[in-house]
Amino acid sequence: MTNIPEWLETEEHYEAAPDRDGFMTKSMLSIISMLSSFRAGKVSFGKHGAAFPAPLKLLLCLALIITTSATKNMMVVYAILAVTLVHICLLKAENLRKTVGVAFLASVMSALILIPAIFLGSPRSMLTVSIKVFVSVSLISILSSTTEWNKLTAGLKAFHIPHIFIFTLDITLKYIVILGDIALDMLNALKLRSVGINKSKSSSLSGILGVTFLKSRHMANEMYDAMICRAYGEEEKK
Amino acid sequence: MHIPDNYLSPSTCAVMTAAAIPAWVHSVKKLKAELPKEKMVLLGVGAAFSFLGMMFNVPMPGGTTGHAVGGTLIALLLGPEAACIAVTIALLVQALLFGDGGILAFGANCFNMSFILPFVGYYSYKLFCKLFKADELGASKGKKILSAGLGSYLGINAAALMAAIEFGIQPMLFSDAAGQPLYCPYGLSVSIPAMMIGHLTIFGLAEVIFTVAIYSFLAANSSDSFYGEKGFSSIEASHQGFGSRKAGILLGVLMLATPLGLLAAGTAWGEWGIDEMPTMTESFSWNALMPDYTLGGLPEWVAYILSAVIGVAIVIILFRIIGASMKSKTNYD
Repeated sequence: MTNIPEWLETEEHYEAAPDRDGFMTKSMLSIISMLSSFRAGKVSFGKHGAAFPAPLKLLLCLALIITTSATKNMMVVYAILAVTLVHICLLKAENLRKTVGVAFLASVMSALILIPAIFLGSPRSMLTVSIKVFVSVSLISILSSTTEWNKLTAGLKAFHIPHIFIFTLDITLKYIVILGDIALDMLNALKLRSVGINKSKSSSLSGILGVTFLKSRHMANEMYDAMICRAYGEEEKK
Repeated sequence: MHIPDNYLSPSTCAVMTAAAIPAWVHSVKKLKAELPKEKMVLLGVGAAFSFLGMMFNVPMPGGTTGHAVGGTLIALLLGPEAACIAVTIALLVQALLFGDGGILAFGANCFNMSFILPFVGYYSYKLFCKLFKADELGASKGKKILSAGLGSYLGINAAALMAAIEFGIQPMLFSDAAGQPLYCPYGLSVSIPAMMIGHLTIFGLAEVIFTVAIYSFLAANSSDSFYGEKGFSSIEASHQGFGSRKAGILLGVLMLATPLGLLAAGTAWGEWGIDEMPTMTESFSWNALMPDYTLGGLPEWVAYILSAVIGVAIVIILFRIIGASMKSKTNYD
């Protein structure tokens, strides 16, 4: 029979004291949701998404947004709203939920902001602006959820946007995911080490973003070296 | 601070984009001349860092959290021109892929957040450094940090003021035949206090905490991180966080400063002159909430078809959302 030491037999009644760590949880959640939409953005494209080339979709989307914003005739807005809603119906469940969520939140927000306007003599603003906001945000959300994001950035080329800009944008998209992972790991580590009350927790935020910045600088240098090794010149092809 | 579409008229958006173009051109030219080629990659990675920084929730006194734009910090790290391009790209990713901030309003958002914010923040930081005689880099770390905090505070508030002015001029310039504003309905007397009270206190504080925290961390741990300050020489790695007590004092100071925003507006809340709100003379009626169906001069049946399509689509969307949320309940046991 093994001897269990006495201290191991006594029952522990440790209850972690609640501490305010909303900033950690909120930051983690927003980074996780951002990362997941980035990962989805690479693979997911609805079957009706592939029918149009990305530049055409981008152009169409822009044209509809400009029309929505510029028109004084609400019938035009309702027509675009109808087309948009029908398109939303045809989306995959995942994309549908995301699109409606984002657009609904945006229009509710603007309705709230515009409530005082009803009493300041412009009652119609709340309805028109909220509906227009819903249409514009849905259009962008449909575009981004049915198009592969690298095709979308490549699509910007059709608008004669300088190559260096699109190149930088591509690097940005890649590194948002890499840096997001790093920051998320550090947030996880901080959360795991913050059982109960940890007073130096909020000052650790500076460490997390500071280290992320230092790593980003290091990785930028490494990436440039790698580009030089692969014979990077002024004009690189995609 | 991210202005969505339909709050500004397309023509305002065009003007603001035109105003942002010189800033972009200047930044790209300066970067091409100044930045070593290997740093061009840093621009993309810097934009990614800027994007990520905007996602972070900054801990505030009282357990609440707030978001920061971080434009001044990026300017302190990479220089104002690089910050301009980096924040522009971060804003583009937000607008194009996340629907955060409008596509048409992109130029206006860029003018506020990627031009006004980093430039005002950076140059006021420089000015404060001069005022505090903080040129001896290693010795005057505290003064530098103070300057960074003040700079970021001025930067975010300058950007908020610009956004408030852009909002505020809408009802003066754009209204329909009935005198109803087409875009943002609030005049300057409402939009300036509404924007500035928030930014002089909570959002300003979030920006200051964000900037000061990361600035002091990098000052302590990586002395060569800052733009144009090669001699930011080795400071011992004793890092002190930005405690919540200091933040609380700062919030108090900022709250006391709030009435300044009201002074800037000219007229205070509830004291608008009749010339400032010409539409107030019309009596308020709920009927006006419903837009006129015959407004477009289109036959009535078009309206019926449209409302039928919209109604059916909304029902389908609701059912699909309900269906999807029921399916997603997974039993992990």
